[in-house]
Amino acid sequence: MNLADKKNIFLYFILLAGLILAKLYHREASNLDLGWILYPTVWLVTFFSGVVFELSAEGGFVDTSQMLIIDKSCSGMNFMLICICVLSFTYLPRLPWKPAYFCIFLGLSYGFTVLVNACRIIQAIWLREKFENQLPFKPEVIHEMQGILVYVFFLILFFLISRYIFNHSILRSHEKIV
Amino acid sequence: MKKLFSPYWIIFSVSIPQIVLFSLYLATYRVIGSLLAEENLSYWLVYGSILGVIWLIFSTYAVYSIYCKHQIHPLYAFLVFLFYVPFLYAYMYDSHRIIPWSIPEWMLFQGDVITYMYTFLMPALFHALWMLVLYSVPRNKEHQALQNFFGALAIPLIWYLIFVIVFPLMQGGESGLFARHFTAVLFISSTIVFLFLIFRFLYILSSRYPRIWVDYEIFWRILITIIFPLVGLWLNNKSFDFAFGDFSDEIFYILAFINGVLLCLPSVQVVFPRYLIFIARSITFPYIIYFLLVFLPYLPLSIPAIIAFGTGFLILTPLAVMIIQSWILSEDYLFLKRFIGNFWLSASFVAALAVLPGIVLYSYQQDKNHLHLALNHVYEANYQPNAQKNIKLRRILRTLDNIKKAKTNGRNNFGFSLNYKPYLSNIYQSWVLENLTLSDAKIQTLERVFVGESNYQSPRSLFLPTPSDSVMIDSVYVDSKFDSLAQSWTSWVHLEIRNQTAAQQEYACRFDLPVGAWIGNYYLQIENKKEYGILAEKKAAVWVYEQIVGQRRDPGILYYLSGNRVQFRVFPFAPRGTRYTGIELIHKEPLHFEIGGQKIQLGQTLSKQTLQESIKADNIYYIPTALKNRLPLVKRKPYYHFIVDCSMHQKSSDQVILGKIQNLLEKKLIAASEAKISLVNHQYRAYNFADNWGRAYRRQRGQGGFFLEYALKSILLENYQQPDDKYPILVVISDALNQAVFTEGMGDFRMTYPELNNFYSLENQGVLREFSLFEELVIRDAPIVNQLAEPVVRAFPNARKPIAFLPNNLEPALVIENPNHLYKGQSLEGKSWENALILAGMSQCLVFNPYQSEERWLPTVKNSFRTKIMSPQTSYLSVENEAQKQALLEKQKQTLSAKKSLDAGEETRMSEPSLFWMIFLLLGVFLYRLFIRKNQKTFSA
Repeated sequence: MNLADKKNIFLYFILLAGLILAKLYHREASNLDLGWILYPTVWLVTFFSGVVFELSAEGGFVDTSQMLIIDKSCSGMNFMLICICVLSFTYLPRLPWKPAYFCIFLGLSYGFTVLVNACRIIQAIWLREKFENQLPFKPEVIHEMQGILVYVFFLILFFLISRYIFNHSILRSHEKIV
Repeated sequence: MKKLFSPYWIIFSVSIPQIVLFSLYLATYRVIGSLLAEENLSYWLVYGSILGVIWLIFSTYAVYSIYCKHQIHPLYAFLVFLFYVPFLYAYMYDSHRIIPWSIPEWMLFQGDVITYMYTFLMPALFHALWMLVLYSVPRNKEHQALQNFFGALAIPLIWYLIFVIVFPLMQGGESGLFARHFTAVLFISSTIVFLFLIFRFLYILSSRYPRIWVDYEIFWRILITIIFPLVGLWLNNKSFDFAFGDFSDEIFYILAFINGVLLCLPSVQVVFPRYLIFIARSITFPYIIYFLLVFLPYLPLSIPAIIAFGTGFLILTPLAVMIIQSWILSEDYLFLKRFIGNFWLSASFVAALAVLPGIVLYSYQQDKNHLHLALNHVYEANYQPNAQKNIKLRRILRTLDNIKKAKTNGRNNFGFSLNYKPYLSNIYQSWVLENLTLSDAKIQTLERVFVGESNYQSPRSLFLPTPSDSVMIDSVYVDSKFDSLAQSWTSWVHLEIRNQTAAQQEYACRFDLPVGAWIGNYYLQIENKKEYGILAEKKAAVWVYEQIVGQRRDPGILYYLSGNRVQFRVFPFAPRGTRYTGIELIHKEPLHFEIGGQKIQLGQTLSKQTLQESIKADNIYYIPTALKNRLPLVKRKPYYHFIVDCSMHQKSSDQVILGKIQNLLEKKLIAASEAKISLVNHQYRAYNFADNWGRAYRRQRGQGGFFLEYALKSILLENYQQPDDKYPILVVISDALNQAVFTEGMGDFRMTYPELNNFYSLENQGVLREFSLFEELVIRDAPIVNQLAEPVVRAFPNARKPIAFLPNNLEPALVIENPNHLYKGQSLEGKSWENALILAGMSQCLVFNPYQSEERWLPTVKNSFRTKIMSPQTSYLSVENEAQKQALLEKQKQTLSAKKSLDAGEETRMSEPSLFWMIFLLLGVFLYRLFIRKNQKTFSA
């Protein structure tokens, strides 16, 4: 299927416009507005790490004992948008146009983001506890590096899993993704 | 050429530039929105809506055309002119209503938004113009190039006649107004026709006589790509007072010449040399794009420039060179593609394009690094022994020079800022200085520390008022309340200040806060309303105060200078006017307080019992006077610590210095054993007196300034950190003590030197002169000292194992238990005396360890915000209106994020990695995948 045919170009524009709108929403949204993604993430972090977070006055979540904060900058919104892009740009052009597909992609991306983000935060807490001031880099650099590694690893994993699933189920009647 | 009809061009020339334009205006609106009158707001709404609708129409058309795989209809080009030309014309007339002149320039954080409108709409007009040229020259017909040329020539000529003959005859009144509008519209239209005819002429010439370019190629290439750019630069710099920016650096000429030569080189048919030339041409391409961007908003000026100076056509030079360079690069690309392949050629092209911007950014980064090193050394110093870093003096001088140029506010005859390099200056400002300005005082201080002298004069100081002694506190009313629950006093000091003169004045005074008292609130009465102060970060507050004062509006400010000394300023005072203001102090015990010559009693002495025990809050002790008087008296042993000037001002040899010291030692004022010596210029090295310091002195002498404050603080902190039975007698040996550099003063270090308040200067024959250590350095009439005092101090908590020694006087004292204590995760809530005490401890530890500002500064500022208690890092500022508050918050945001890593010390935010890095990595993965796929295909083929 030609990736540059009429339907797909239109689709790309719609996706790009949606992406820009989502980024704008993320920029303007408060912590409370992003509760739909922050709450499940914090719940998972608490469940697996035992660190209890309280809702702060600004709407973020704070662990006062270790001074950890989870707020909109930690929501995983960027990761979710990338996941949606990966799925949509890869598979939508190859599928017959049905809104249901896009909804499935949204749901998958959301669920996966919550899991990965919780995993990233748990790892970061662990790294901070075990290696604080023992590594040659500043803590924020380590945090950034760890975040990138986790995200890229899971993103590639996400792509491979999705490719496997789509090749073996949904795309059986269509073309396969190489 | 037909590619210009692709709808993607609309995306690049209309959709994207206008999104950027919208975002810039939106960011500007956020700051100045509340200052705009309803009339101004309606202009914003109308112009914003029109532009938004035009944008929507064209962008939708572009998407639709891409979707349907249509080319752009020529009507689009006409519509662009039809929409944008009247729009820009109207905008030009109304720009002062959109950004009123009353809005101060310093509030426009995004830069010159008025010019941005022209810059970002010009690509659309330019694209449309080219489309019209192509459309008007069908391939299957013959066209006369000369007609276009003469037509283009006629336009400036006719305008010249209009200016000379018609304008002087023009009458005023309604008909005159109409005539002016009509002339303006005619002028704009003819500019477009002029450009249209010029482009058309060139296009017809190139398509009709392709040989003309080939036969005379070298001549026109040399003319357009070498001579015109060099002449243009020279004229701009020499004859037109840097009309379009300061391009006087040699590098601009060198790059113009190299780029011209590269474009004049013949197109060789051998791959490797052609590849090298292609890379070189790609490297210099951003240089031309830069000039195109600079001149883009001024393209419509080409006609008046031609009329006025005859050389106005040079405005078109970057455009012409850009077209030629693009064409030559595409020729090179097509040739090389056959041998090198698309992927590597594109990669080389992109890498080459990044070279010049990369060098510029690298150079800026180096400037930034050295500026930070210099600033750290002076303002975030590490006073621990041997903690200094090697600093390259030449790089710092270059950076300071650039900052001074950027700060010069002069304007040329054309109204543009002098020393301003369009776009580059803005990037420099945001990259190196992170959008903060370096204050004049800081520039002077840095120059005095690293150069040894400073001739820099503040360009703005002329416009700021000078505080007057004739504005005085007329009456004081104190309202003290004792909080029995918190066991502390809250006292409001209400002041009535009167201007005795018949001119507008500023009130300024300095007062010393008593030990154990802190400022918890402040107000200034503005138009019969108490405007309570905003507690803000000090740098941002002082900056905003000075900007507001420059605009003659109402602000009032309170901030710490050094130690307990507070600066208090209010502006303006109308002639013989009176203003009302008030300061809230919180304190533990009743105390005496003096402000502006008025002595005040805060709290009632008789009603409460005197404190008998020390109060400890975290790392700091409050020692009340009653307890202090019971502490044991101790007499410690003095030793000499000689501080030798090694700066550019010092002329004496090491033998002369040694002679002076020996003369002093022979007087036997104190024992000579255990004496130390420090060599000081912009750096500081300490030695034992018995060591071979002469060699180090000879090596170090003659560089930089005499940074005496750094040396004194290092010595005193070392003495405070190890409280033992000795204390230093500070003796300075300098040929130019008046050149010694002090920044913040020594007031913050008073607690580290309980025995004395002075230091000495050693002169010939061992003569000692006494100077105040904690007050301003006054050189004249310093008294000669023949005997050294033998002071006693009090040991806290006891003489056997003291934490600190305290001066033997009748005042309470503060003691820092561990000067290096890190307040990790300390979060204070609410205004209380205990929190104020902890905050004082945090601030004092920051004073002792300024180099740890990254960990300490932000928590201290945040705790000050939370408790509403002013610290040396914050300031109370009362402002007149909402816009000033917004400007303060904006500046504060910039200040607080200037060093992003500041967040790390206090609390850890589990932030996502930045999108930039994610996209960068994913792009890498994507390219790798492409590469693998391509290789697989090649193999299988």
